[in-house]
Parts: sequence; C-alpha cells; structure tokens
Amino acid sequence: MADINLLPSEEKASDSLNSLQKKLTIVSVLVLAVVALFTVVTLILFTTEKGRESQLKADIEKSASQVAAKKSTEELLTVVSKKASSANKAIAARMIYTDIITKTAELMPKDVYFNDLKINGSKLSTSAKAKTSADVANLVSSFVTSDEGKKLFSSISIDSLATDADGNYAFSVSMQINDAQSGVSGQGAVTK
Amino acid sequence: MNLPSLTVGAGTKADSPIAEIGKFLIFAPSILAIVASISIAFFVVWPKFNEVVKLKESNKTLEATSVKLSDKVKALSVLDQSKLKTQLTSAELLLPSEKNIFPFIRQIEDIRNRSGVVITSLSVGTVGQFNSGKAKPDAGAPSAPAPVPPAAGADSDIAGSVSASVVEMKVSVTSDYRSILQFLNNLYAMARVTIVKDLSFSPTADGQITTSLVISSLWQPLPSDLPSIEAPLPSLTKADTDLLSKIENEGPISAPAPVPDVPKGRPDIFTKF
Repeated sequence: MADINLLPSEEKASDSLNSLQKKLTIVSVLVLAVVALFTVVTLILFTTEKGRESQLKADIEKSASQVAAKKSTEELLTVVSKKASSANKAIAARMIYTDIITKTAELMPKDVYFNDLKINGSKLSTSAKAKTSADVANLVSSFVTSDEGKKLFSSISIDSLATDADGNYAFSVSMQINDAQSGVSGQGAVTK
Repeated sequence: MNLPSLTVGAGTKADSPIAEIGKFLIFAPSILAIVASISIAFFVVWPKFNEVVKLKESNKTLEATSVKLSDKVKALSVLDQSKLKTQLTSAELLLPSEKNIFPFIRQIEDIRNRSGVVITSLSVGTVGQFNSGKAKPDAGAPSAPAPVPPAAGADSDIAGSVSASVVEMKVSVTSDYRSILQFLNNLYAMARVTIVKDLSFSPTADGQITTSLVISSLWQPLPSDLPSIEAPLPSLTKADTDLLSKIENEGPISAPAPVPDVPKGRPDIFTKF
C-alpha cells in the first residue's frame, strides 16, 4: 500500500526553505571566517614585514655610514689591490730575455757562434757560423730534442745554410720561444 | 443544486508573486554576507597580500645588502691604514699613477751606471703636458692628461690585459757581453714594471756589442671613482702582498732616484753651455 503523506505541501516547501537557509547561513559564516582569518594573517604579515623593512633600512644606513667613515681605507685598498694585481699579471706575462740568452748559450755547441741576434716577441733570429755541419746538426738537436731545449724552444727553422771561403758553415736560423718561458724568473728574481 | 466549487489556494496571499519573493528574501543576508566577504577578500585583502609578498622579496634584497655592508664594515675595521699607506708607496713604485718620465730616465741612467754599459742614444716619445695648476681652462686643451693608448706589440698586450698605459723608451747601448746581460737583468729587477722588447744585438769588431732595445714601462692612473658602496672589498692575494713586501724591503735599491737639483739662473737665454 502506498504511503500517504498527510503534511500539506506548503509545510513541506517551508521546511526545505528553512533547511536551505540554515545551510546558506553556515556557508556564509564559514566564508566570513575564512576571509577574516586571511585578513588577520595578511595584516600580521604586513606589519611584520614592514617592521623588518624598517629595521633592515636602519641597519643598512648604519653600515653605510660606517663604510663611508672608512672611505679613505677603502680607497687605499682599492688602489693598492688594483696596482699590485696588475703588476703581478704583467710580470707573469713578460719574457725574461736574459734567461733565454743564458740558456741558449748553455745549449749551443762550442764551435758555433752568432753574428747577431734579434729578439722580437717570442721569436729569435740570428745569422750564425759553425765550424762543421755536425755542429749545425747538434745545435738543432740540442735546441729541439734535448729536454732543456724543448723547455726553451717550441720550434727552430734554418732558413739558409752555406759554406764560406774558410770552409765554415754560415747559416741563418730562427727559433720560436715556448710560451711557458713568460715570466719564469719573475720580478727581481734575475741575477744581479 | 449547483454549489460554487472552492479551489484550495486559489486567490490566497501565498500564491501572489510578492509572497514568492518574500520566501526567498530570507536568503538575502547570507548571500549578501558571502558576496561582501568575497569582495573584501578580492578587492582589499588580496592586493594587500600581494604587497606583503613583494615586501618579503624586497626585504630579502635588503637583507642581502645589509649582510654585504656589515661584512664590509667588519673587513674594513680590521684593515691597518698605516700598513696600507706603506703598501701604496710600494704599489706606486711598481705602477706609478703618472708617466713619471724623468724618474724613469733617472732609473735607466742609474742602471747604466751600475751595469757598465754606455748609452749611445736614448729617446722617448711625447713626454707629456705639465700644468702649473694656475692655468685657465682652455676650451681646446684637455683638462686632465689623457692616458696614453698603449702601442701595438707584446707590451701593449700585457698593458691592455692589466688596463695600464705604456711609456716607451728606445735605447742603444754599447758594452761587453756580461755588461749588457747585467743591464738587462737590472732592468728586470727594477721596481717599476718594465718590459723589454725588440732586442737587437750586433757584435762589433773590437769585441763590443751594440744593442738596441725598447724599454716599455707601465703606468696606471688612479681610479677616478670607487665602486658602489655595496661592492665587496677588493682583496690582496698572497702573490700581491709578497710582491709589495719585496718592493718595500728592497727600499731605495729599486726605488727611482730623485731627479737631482741643478744650478739655476742664466744671464742670457741664448748663450751656449
């Protein structure tokens, strides 16, 4: 048998409206509470950050005035540091030709001499004389195959070779100095 | 009998449109409250929240600046100004702030005397402009000596890499083999950073050697302004302090000899020596 609802339809509608109103009220209160919480949190964060900002600005101002008071020291350090570092770099990059000449002399066979010597950057060129062809060959091997020679020169090129009236060998030779020779001795380390 | 029939609800207040609207008016406060809350959140609180986020970011930057500055203050407070002044003197010997051509020539003459070579010729380029400090500003003349652009070559590469300028001196010397090597060694041992280039040795019949060379001496103008206050302090490396101490300890040996005073006053400006 079917249920019979004796409540009038107006009563039923009124109940559902009341229930809806209650739900809506709860939702509105929740939204209000969330917004209020968000507002309070935002305000607290804002106040905190503003306070921190003021504190940091005060700290910066204080430190800036302390730095300004030591400006002369900073200027001194800046100049000294720049000059010292530039000088060090320049000294490290320059070639100490006296070392190169001395080492070249040590490596040369006894019966070879230079008529002149030109040094331009990392290139040495000379016109030389040797007693025998073996001396020329030894000069080449000494400069490019010996350990000391390899440290000093990266390449050697004999541009001309001829005997003169005395039977000596005249030759022109150019040598490329190794980049590693730059600033080997450093500032003031050379023999006085 | 025909009685009028009565329809329930027909013609009552409950069925009127006003009554229908009235039924829904009970939701108005809740809906209004929700709308107002969302509006406040969207138009007032959210922008403020964004402001807080931005403030937090800017505070991070401020904090970094503050830390940098306080570190700088600490670093500055431990520096010894008198020691720095001594180091500056050494640094000026290494890389003068001006061309200082006359002290440079004096140094070369000094080295010549100590090495036993004879300088047969010596030439420098433009010596430079000297101001008494009382000259009126001239529209055509530069107000301050401009740094000399470095010449092309190995020395200019070195000078360019360290932002320095170069003074070049062309020298021809005559000496024996040992003396020219001594002369070159003394040049390298000079306090002022010097680069030797374009060397040409020509032995003569009497056993002497004629040498021509270019002596490039570096100089570096003082910086015109300091970096920003937040920039970290430059630091001296061990190599820097060692070099400065070395120059400081060598003292007058490597320092340029002062240009000597000479007798002054002539009766006639055209009379020869």
